[in-house]
Amino acid sequence: MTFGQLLKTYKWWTLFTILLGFSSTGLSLLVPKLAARAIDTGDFSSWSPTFTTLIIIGASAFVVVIIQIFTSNYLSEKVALDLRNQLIKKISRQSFQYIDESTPGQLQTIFTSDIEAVKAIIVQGFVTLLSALLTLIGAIIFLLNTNLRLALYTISIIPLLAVAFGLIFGSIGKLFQATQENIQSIYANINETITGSALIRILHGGYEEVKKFKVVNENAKKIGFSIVKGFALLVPIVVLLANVATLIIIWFGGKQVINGTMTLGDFSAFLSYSAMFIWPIFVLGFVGPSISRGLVSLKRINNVIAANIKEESGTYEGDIQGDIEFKNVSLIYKTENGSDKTVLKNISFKIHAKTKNAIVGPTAAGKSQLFYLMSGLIVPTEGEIFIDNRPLSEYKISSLLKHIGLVFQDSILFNTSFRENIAFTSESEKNRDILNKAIETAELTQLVKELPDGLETMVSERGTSLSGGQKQRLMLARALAVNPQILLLDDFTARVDQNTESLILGNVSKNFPEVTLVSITQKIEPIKNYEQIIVLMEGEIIGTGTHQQLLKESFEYRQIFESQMSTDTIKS
Amino acid sequence: MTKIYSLDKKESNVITPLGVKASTGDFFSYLKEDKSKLIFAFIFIFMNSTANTVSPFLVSKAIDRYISVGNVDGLLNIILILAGVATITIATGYAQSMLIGRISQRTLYRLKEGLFAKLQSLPTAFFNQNKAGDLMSRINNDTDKINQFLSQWIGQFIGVMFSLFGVVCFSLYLNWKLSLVMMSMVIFIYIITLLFSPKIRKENKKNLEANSDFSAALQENLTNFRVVAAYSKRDYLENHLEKKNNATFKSALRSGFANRIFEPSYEFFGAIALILVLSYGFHLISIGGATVGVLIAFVAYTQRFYDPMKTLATAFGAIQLASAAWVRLQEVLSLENNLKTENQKGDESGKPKLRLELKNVSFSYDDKNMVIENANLSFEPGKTYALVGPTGGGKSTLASIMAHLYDPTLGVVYLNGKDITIYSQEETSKEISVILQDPILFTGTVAENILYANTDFTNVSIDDLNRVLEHKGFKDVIKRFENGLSTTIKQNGAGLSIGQKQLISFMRAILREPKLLILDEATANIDTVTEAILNKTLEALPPETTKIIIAHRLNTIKDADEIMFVNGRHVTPAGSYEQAIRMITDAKRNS
Repeated sequence: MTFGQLLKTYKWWTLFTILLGFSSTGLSLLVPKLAARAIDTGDFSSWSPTFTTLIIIGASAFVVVIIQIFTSNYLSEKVALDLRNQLIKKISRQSFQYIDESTPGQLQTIFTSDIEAVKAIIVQGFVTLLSALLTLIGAIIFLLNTNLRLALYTISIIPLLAVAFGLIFGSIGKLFQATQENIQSIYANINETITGSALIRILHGGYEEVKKFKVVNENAKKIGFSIVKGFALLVPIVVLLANVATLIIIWFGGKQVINGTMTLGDFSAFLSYSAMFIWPIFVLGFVGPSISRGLVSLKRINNVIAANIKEESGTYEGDIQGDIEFKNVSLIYKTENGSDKTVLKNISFKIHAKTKNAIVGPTAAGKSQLFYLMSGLIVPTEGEIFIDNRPLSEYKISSLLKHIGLVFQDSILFNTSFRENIAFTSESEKNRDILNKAIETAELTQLVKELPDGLETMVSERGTSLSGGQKQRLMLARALAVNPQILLLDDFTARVDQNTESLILGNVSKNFPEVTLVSITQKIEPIKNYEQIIVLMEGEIIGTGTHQQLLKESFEYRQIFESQMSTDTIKS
Repeated sequence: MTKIYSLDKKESNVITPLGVKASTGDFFSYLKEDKSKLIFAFIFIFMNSTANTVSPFLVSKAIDRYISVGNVDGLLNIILILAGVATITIATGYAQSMLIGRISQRTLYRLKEGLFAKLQSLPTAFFNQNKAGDLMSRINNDTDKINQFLSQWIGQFIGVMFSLFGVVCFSLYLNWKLSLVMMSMVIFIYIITLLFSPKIRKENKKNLEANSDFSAALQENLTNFRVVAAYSKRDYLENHLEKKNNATFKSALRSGFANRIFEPSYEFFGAIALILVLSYGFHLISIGGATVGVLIAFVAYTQRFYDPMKTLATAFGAIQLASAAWVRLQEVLSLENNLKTENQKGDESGKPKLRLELKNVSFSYDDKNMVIENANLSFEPGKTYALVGPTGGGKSTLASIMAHLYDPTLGVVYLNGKDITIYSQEETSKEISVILQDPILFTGTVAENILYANTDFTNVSIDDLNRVLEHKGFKDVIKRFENGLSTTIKQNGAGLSIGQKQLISFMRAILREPKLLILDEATANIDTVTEAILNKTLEALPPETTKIIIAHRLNTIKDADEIMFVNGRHVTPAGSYEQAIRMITDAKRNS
């Protein structure tokens, strides 16, 4: 939303703040007037009405300023809260692709740095600007009231000021955009150095990291300098004009007092008001950068809030059996230089419910994408996918996912309790049985027993206190806790030893007999008896069938099988 | 080794009443480099403030000497002087802004550089004990608070101090009695400042923490978004983040209010002071102790004394905030790496003929549960060893100790006959390389990743690199990437499968020709055909290379010279391959 819309949303607060601004400004404007009157009337006694008025004004100003601080503070934080909540709502509804493709650090920057900049508009910019403008207008009115001719001379500097400011702010806007982008790069840099910390130490690559960081840091310094240079000009301009104003007043005003056309008291008041006239101009110079920067950030935030989300068109929410069919499915990405990258080409197969299926094939992207397609996380470029003979597009994806358990290739754990990592819930609930079943099946019971706080033990960020195999088993438990109809395992047993592997696969068969299992795997031995094996190579299916069939018909399959251990030696 | 690197457990330093002294000591070392600039800036600020303060004094003279007696010529003179003073104000103001701006940008640069360098000096344990989002927040946001203070407030703050000094001097000179009355309110200001500062600083600290907390939660969920999407847990994510957001809101309200609480109070005292000045001033005029001109000047001086006080009040809030931020930075900067390297007292009595030897090595992450107990292992040059065992048994931990990512809790690790702690990290990195279970890649090209931190291959062209790698047997591997070595990689290899990432790790490690290569489940995610290709490349390593292979797959280890069995803290040699198989199939996994 634009700044105008932002203000409209908070119109009551804004009006209240303006009202307070009026009051506190009005109050402070009265003070010189009263002092002037006191000097002119020669009213020297301490208990005169003038003094009483001054005391009342002082006290009221105090109260008003306190309230004003609270309201401006509240307003800016509320705006930040609401903007952030809007961002949160938007992000959590976004597609997996959007998040994947957003530049590292971009969202982090938007939530922190850009929000701070918008807040600054309100605290430093908006409210201060408003009081400054009010003070300016008030001071001008009082000046005109005190001595018309002198006032007009004094006010003549304003148009010059406007021109100068306009020029400076115009040229600096671009620099703020650059600042935000630089912050994004810094975030990305820091993130990489943290996630890669073990490797960096093994390779003694600290100097490389420092080198990379130096680039973005130098850039930050350069942009910062440019902004400093731009705004450094503001000060001399303001001071120059302010001093010109003062000199005008003293010369012309002084002459008028000498001629007798102005009283000394009025002259004193005029001097005070001119100080009040000058202060807001300084403020404009001080505050201008904040507003300029905040508007740039607001635009960035709006881009995220306004981003398109493909609406969910599907409505079917029922249970599923687990039949999966792919008809001529292709997945084509656009690479950075604009060319096409075909990840999957013309894939067709049928998986029957409640059967065990495996997908084998060489190392390359493509197999995992099959799983993302099956669960509706991404959409195919060509072709159609059916579940239970119904097109995937007819399903309400959020409902469908409740029946699919997907275990990713790499371990993804959260810095919450074990329970939350498995079941996403922190309170004990009616599904306790399912939770236990999942833990048992994944052979985690022993591990959970040994944890200091049982299931409530916290898993450290990125799961660094667990071994590779333990993380994988935790991910499996997570998938099973859903009580899935379809279980998708992406290279699950890669990190798990043979014993545990056969135990787990046995458990799955026993505890989840109705499940449709699809397993991407490198090892043929454990899947030999599966109902169907699909061989995928460079994005294309080169064979489907049982183990025996493929041994006969597929050269590549034979090659894979023969490169692995023969059964006899293992059994001995 | 308990969680000594965890930033969570840190307690901040004892806070003195003004809240500033305790932690500013170290901060000034960051400014030292710009000492000369700072001095010039101070000079300009001083000149600027003096010029600012002289004006009312001159105005007062103008009124008394010339305006009230009708001396136009004298008025003209004083106007010229005022114009001169104004020029000085302008010139010094500009110079001051430029200098302060430069100084604050450079200081910010050094702060960030220092923090980042500190991160590089800390061991793996530090990163395991802290959250990515929290560190990001400290390096990016907390430093910015300090920058804001420097760039916006230092000039103002110092200028105000000088102005105040100037006002005090001139006003004392003009009429010392009236001057004392004017300044009398300062006592009260000082008292309330003293009273409230600690609380303000605490609120600021809490606010910075809440923000850090939010960043951490956001970062984690963005990184793990796949799971959030696949498990349809978007509501969970939304609620989780909204809760953190509300926490930042609440703490921001409190700290924001706290930071500005002085303004109205200072203003109030200013008003009282004006009243006092006026009443006492009138009294003096009535007894002939002061002129009207003097009173008028004092009205201006009072304003010029207490308005800056208001600025000080606001600046003070910024000081508290910057100070709280600085404490958080210090929490990181004050950490020292506990990992022993370049240890002069290291034992050199190991067997030099052995590549690596573990003597009575025990290890625990938390000083409570031993993960490895009393391991005694020898690894000879040129041999291939296999470490097998059930998941969770301690194999990767052992690998971390062998690569000196952690010091053993008990016992010694000898590298080429010397305690491994004697070597520097650089020396160790040249001798030992590890292919990790979870491959790590950096943004850049495949080539850049392969050459990362490789000091033997600087400035090599893509073609040359291709040739070298093909020579080592990686031709078919390179083909797996759409643009070969020039393929660009996004953040940690998004879009590549683990297997593909692992291929790059292989090339990277083998190019270094380490004397000891540890493979931690390196081929777990790679198909067996490709694995065979990679094994061949291992054979291309120099014959004296020692290889330690951690694996589950039997055919991965079948060519090992010696097999060791790791399970639940104990390492047992398994002798022959057949024996190993028996141990594996019989073994009960411990967790």
